[in-house]
Amino acid sequence: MTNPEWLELAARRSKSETWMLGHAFEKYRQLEGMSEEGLAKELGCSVETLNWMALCRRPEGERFKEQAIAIAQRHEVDAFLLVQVLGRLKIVESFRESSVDGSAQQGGMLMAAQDRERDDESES
Amino acid sequence: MNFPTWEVELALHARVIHKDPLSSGDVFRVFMDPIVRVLRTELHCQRDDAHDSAVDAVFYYLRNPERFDSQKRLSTYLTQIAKRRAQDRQRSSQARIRREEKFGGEFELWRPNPKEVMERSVEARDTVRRLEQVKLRKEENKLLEQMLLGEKCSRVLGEVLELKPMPEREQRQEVKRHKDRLMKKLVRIGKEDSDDES
Repeated sequence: MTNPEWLELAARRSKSETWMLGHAFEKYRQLEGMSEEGLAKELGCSVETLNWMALCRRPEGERFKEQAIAIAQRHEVDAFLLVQVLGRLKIVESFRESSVDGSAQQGGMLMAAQDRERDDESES
Repeated sequence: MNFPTWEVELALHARVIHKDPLSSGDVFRVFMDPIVRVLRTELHCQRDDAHDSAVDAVFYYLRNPERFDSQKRLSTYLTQIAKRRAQDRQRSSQARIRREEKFGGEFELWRPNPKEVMERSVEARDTVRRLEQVKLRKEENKLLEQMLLGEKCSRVLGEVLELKPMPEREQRQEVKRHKDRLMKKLVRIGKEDSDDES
């Protein structure tokens, strides 16, 4: 896969498009306090591959898993890792949506949910 | 790289309409290079402007694919949008050059006397000193610097403010909020200073 000069620019612009995977990656990075290199490492790919994936539409709805797998396969990334990243982000987003007032109790629930998910991952 | 056949374009458009997650990346893969080449050869765009304009066109299409009339060629549609964006960029760049030339000419004609130069220099130094005392936050300083340089683009100012990625409209509002807050702060300082002097 060749990397054209415009790839970085397009990937950067994808961060502002809520329907794009680039936006989801950016939110995940902010959530985890992670650099682009860090996220690429977590997904086991290069930053260039991350940029190509950023140009894809974000998987959603009932076909979420199927779409995520298709993206992973096209970019030769471990589908499990991509589903894990997007799944974690989805959980955080749904908690945020349900806690519009951002009360401390709900914030605590969110952190607990994230911790629980990580525990599950490390056990499996 | 050339534009694809009509059949390939139609199939790609159908995938975009059906929200195939890989289709958006494929639109970039298939159309970016040929569009950039047209902009470079026909409009003699600089490389960065050509890239920006082509990316603008692809995003415009992907945001609202239903606006494209599938009886026509997608390559023509995208190239036309990109050309318009490139021409807008060229026009604003030419206008900026004209403004700078005009300003340069007027500056040449305007020959202040030495006393006036000294007074202005003292005034400028005083303004800088006051601004230093205000203790603006790091991002406020950067924002002020860009505003004084005449930067108006919300995207650029958003980057200066290190705003999180967000939709364009929200970003514009957020930048405006920061600008308004900064201006209020400066007005307040100016007022305090003039009160002190009186």
